[in-house]
Amino acid sequence: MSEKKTKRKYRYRKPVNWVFLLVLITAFQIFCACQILLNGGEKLNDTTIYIVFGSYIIVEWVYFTVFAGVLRRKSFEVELIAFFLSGIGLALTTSVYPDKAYTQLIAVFLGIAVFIVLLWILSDIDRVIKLRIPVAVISIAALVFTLIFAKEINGARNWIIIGDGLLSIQTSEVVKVAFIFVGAATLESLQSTKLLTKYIIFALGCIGLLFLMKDFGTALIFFFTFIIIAFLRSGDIKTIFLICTGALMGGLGVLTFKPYVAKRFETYRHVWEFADGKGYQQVKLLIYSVSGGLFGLGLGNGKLRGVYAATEDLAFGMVCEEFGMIIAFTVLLTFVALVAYSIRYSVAARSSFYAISACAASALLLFQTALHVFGVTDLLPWTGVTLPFISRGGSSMMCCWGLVAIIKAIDVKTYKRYDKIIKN
Amino acid sequence: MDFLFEQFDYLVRYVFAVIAVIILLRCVFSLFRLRPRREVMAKLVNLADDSEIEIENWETSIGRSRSCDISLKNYKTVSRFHAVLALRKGGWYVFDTDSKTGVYLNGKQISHAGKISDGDTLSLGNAVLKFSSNGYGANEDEENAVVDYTNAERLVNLSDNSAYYLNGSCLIGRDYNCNICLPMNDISREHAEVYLTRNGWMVADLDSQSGTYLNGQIVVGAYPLYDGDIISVGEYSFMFRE
Amino acid sequence: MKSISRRAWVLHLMAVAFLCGVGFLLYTFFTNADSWSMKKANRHIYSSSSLTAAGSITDESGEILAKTVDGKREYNESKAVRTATMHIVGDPQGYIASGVQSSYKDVLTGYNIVDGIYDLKKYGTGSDIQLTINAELCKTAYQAMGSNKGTVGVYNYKTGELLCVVSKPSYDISNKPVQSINNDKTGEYDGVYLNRFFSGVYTPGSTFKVITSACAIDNIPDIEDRSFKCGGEYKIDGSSVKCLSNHHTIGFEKALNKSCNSAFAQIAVELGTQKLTQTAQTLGFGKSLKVGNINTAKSSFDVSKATKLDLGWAGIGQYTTRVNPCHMLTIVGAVANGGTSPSPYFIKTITSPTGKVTFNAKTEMLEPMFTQSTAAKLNELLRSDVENGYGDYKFSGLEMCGKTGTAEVSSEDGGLRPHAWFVGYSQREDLPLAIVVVAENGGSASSVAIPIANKTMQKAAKLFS
Repeated sequence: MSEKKTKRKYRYRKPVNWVFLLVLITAFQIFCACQILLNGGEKLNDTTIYIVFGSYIIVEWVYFTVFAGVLRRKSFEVELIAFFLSGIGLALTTSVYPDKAYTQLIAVFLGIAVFIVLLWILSDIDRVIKLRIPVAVISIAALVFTLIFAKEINGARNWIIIGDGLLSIQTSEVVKVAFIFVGAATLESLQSTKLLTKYIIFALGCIGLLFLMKDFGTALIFFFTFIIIAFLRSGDIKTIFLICTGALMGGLGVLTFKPYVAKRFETYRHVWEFADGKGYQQVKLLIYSVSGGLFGLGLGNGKLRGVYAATEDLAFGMVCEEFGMIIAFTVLLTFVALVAYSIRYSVAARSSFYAISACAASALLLFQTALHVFGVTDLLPWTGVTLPFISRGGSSMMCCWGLVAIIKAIDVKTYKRYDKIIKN
Repeated sequence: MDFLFEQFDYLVRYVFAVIAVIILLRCVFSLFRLRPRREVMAKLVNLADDSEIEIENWETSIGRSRSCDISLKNYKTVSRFHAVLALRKGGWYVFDTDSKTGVYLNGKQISHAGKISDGDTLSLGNAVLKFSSNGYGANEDEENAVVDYTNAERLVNLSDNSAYYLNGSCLIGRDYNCNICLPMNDISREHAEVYLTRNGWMVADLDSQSGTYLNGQIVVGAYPLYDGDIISVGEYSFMFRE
Repeated sequence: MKSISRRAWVLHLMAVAFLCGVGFLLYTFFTNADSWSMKKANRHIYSSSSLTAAGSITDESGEILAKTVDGKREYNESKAVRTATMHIVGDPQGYIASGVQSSYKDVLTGYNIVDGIYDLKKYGTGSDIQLTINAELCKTAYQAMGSNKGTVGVYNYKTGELLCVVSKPSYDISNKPVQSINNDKTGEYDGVYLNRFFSGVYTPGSTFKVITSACAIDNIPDIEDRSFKCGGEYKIDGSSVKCLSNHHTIGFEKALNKSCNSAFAQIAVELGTQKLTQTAQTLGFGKSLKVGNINTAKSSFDVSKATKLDLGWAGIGQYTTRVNPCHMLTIVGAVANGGTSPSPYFIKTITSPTGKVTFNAKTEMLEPMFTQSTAAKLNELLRSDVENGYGDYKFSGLEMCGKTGTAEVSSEDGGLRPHAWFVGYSQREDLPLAIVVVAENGGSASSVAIPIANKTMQKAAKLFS
């Protein structure tokens, strides 16, 4: 009887009505386009806006029609969120850097492609298991390649630029997905190889390479993800505590022996004192974030856009100023929801691989968001990581869509057809 | 025209906020509230004491350790992490996870993995378990199977598996006007009703003589219905699905 | 699987930590919104650290004191008016904290946390502020000050409207003499960013006798029939409180008219520490007055460690006693208004860019200061001061009541001239105005402060009756 009672408590709920929400999303994007048209400067080319928003809206509808109408899938919450957030990022990019709008649009499309492909790959657990080792090798190789051949931008060697800036890839972003992919495993392989050794070597390799690239923000994200995955896999608090303490000591050591690293963080909690120097971006972000009020000033009316790297490092401030604090803080909530969703569904996942990977992916997104938002608002040291989906950047956009695919793969419903039977 | 633009610019800020909050909160709440549907996917019967172990996960670990899903604490010959039972594309599989005593399927030791099907016996050390799948893993390719994964609410008659698709309200009784007509003596003319309210589907007993039972308990007034509930009327039983 | 999903619960901690962080962030945003958005780096409002986009400030008669034209801040055409109203209008850089452009910056720019500075973007301006100040009167008062530093304040003791707030030294806001202010060695621009009316405190000198008198009327029943001996000084414990001249034997009213230090030192000593402190407290000493967004400097009267001699000095407004001019104004205002003063204010209306009046000043009363009978008695005394002491001809046709003060400033560092005070009010029904004049180191009150007060009040009479 008690079992029945628990069953009743966990009531099965219907997924959201995607048509209604997609209409709203479309409306939102059309309004964005109108506002950019109205407030646009001289640089702006009207056709760019029509093409960018038009094709994006079309792709949205095509995606949902195919998946809901033809493939008869249900539950689209995760995609709706991803599409909406990408739309905000696209609108910001189009408005601030009209010349980069197409690049960003292509990035979003590539992201969606990555999402679909990854979902398909993840549908078969055997395929996934076969792919793990090659992926691990390729990611390490890619990182090594980047370290050797990459160009240094903003003090971090993490950009591979091909053909005079035609194509620039941030390998560390792509490796994020691979990192989780390699880290998760099925229950039987977890039970057969109780030791984390292989994974620890892989993870430390990745993190070490990122350190050499001086991409500390991403290295921190990787380390955090590593801790999460290691814990989910082994439940071994002692080892993880040891690793964390080691990392902490290492970090402190670096800070004491390499003072120039510490100097990067000297503005922490003192941005107002460095308002004209290193704290400039953050001070501007704080000022303009509150200038936007709850409802924002409207796309194109902000002043933060004039600050360097406004749509990348300061994306949160851009959303605050131009879309308002309500939207900005609701966006933050969505990342928490993804984590909650992963936790809920981990028990009913098709394999522990999905449970671990989805939890790690959502935790990564949340952690990255935290680093971005709290870093830029000076609650945490600023590491210059991007805001998932909203910050401009092709590699990070693909990475986010990939992570969302991993989260979505946790639910059995993702791969089921729901055909309506009408008979009585 | 400029005036219109101005008004648009002014209003759209609020519209933005409203739309975004609706979209995101709708999704967020949905994500927070969605729970996976968990069902008994298979059963293991311990032949030593006929105790039944229900399996609700796609992957289940078996071993002596307490952190295993199926913990065989009292069997000294079972390794701490002995085996894993998993539902894969081709059906149910059992994996030997480096156990000391090995995994035997119908008396034969498996090397790494072995396919297990209904009625097979699984021996782990001196523990012998009989496996029965609950219909899961039966279809070779589940993705394309058009089974009863519909979102239509229905009552399934458990005696012949026929389904009645619910639409608004459904009367159960002996009377011919009833939606589900059960011409039996121990059923009242209008025995019970299943109907939709704002809070979901409810079942109510209509002062029947023999009573209506929900999951074995007598229904007094109205009760909310959830997926998998069993309504018993006389000697008929219906499972509610949504 | 069970163990993994159990471990996954740890992520809840992370989610909770994140939510806490978000909550804290929201909190910091909301608490700091006003100060952050008004920072000079905010290019919505400032350009090259000078306020550009803000609503206009007008005086009581509608005269523009400050406005924004094409993204530039412009001020009144007349240099005299600009200089005289500089302190109340405030400077665009925000050095003058009590100026409207600083203390009402969020109103002028229309900032609020809900809409941000959207209104500023939309209309190019925030709310307009109309002051109760009269520019002409300020100009007259400023000119009347001549070469003296100090302050003049005039307010309506029935409604609380401040009509004139002038602080000197000042400068022309449109042509700020940056070099002279920064390299000032002569003291010409000493405290130029301070609005002395709100933020200054001065030794009150004889003007404090009004307060001693109030205490005496309340606590010594036969005070009016008393007579006091003055031998040019009043001896206490081997030392003495000096008087300006030898008044021989003198009654209470006469003592106030002649401002006899000996008599009031005697009264103070007789009243004692406790009663004087009590009166001072009821009058609002030790507390800050709230005038709109501005908190005035606190007046202080502390005789807790005073010897008898000190108490004598305190009773005539010396010792450690300090009074804020605005506070003193409300005290005489209370005398004029039957014991209770209205709370002074200088913002008349605030009009939003859409033309809606969002704020309309209302008269609010301060805590009662005197009983009605005491107020009436003091009223008589102060009137008699002018009639019999200074001479009504000095305020022709104004029916003034008042008290001068020549406050000795600690002259250890070499003979600083005393502060010249005048506080008073007109009894005329059509001219319910009270005035306070402080001329720093101005010298004799009757020769310095009274002419300033007279010129200002004459102008006010012309303007308002």
